[in-house]
Amino acid sequence: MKASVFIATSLDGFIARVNGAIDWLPPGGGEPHGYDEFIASVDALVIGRKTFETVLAFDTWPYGAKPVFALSTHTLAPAPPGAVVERLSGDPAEIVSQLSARGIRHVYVDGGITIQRFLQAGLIQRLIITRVPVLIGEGIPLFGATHRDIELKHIATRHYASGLVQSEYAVAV
Amino acid sequence: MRKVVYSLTNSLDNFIARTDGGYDWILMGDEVMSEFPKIYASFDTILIGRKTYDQTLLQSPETGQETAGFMEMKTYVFSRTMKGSPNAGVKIISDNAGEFVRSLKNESGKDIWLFGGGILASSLLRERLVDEIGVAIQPILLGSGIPLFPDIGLQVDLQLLECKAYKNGIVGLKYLVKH
Repeated sequence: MKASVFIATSLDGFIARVNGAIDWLPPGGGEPHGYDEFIASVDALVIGRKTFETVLAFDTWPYGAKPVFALSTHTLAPAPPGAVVERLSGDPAEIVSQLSARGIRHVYVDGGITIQRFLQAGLIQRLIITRVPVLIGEGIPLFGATHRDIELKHIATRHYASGLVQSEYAVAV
Repeated sequence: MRKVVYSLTNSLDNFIARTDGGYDWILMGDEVMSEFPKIYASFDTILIGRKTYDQTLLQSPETGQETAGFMEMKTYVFSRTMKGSPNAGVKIISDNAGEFVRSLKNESGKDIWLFGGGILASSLLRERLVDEIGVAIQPILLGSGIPLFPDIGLQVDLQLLECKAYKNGIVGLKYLVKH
C-alpha cells in the first residue's frame, strides 16, 4: 500500500496557528493546485482525531463518500450523513497492514501528528507540499522530531499565479 | 534604498544547521554553485549573527585568519558579548541592531546579505527591515536543528518572485516581503 501526504504549509513550516486556525490559507483553498486530482487517486484517508474534529466543524463534510479512517483510542463523535467514517487504533504499521488486507492500495494520510507518526515509521512514500507565501511566525509545525535523517527525492515543483509553490517528494527507502 | 536579503539554504523541515551547527547534509552541485558569482556580485555587505559567524569560522579554519572581512564584503557581526573585532575587516555591532541596519540601508551601495542565523533574521524581520527572502530547500528532513525562522511572533506576508528546481533536488525560492 502506498501512503501520500498532500498538505499546505506556511513558508516557516506551519500547518495551522497555535490555536488551530487556518485563516492564513488562501480563501476557498486558493486557486486549483491539484487537490481534486490527488483525492481522486486515493482509495481512503487516514486522519488523526484532531483533524477529524476539525473537519467535522466545517459547513460541509470535505471527503464525500471516500472512506475515512480516523485514528482514535476513544469513541468518535458521529459523522454527518453520507460520510463513511471508521475508527481505527494502533501504531502506523498495524494501521497499514489492516488497510492493505482490506484491499486499499493508496491512502491519504492527513493531520500533523498522524503524518509525523507515519513518517517516523517509514510508512509515507510521497509528500506533496504546497507552500503558501506567508510567514505566520508561530504555530503547529508540519514536521516533528525524527530519530534519523529522512532523505527525499525531489520529483517536481510547480508554482501558481497566486504564489503557491507545490513540491513533490518521494521518501527514499 | 538598498535591499536586505535573507538568503540561505535549509532542510525541508526548515532547519539551517544541525543542533551542533553541522551542515554536512547540504548539497550544492555545479548547477547551484554556478549561480553563486551572480549572487555574490549583487552584495557588498554582509550581516551575520555571532553564533553563525563563529560556526562559519570554525568550519573553515583558513578563513579564521582573514583580514579583509568575510568573503571580502563589509562584514558586520551582531554580538552583545564580543569585546573587540577578531580582525580589521569585521565590525562588531553590539546594540540597536535595527537602528544600525536602518541607517545602513540608507547609505549608497549594493544590496545587503543577511547571512543569518535565525535569531538575527527574526529580529530584523520583526523590525520590518528584511526586503527579500531566498531559500534553497534541500531534499531532506533533519528532525531537529537550528531553525530558519525562530520566534518571529508576527505574520509576514510574502510575494513569490522566483521558483527554480535544480537537478539535484534543491528547490530555490525567492520572495518579496510585503511591508
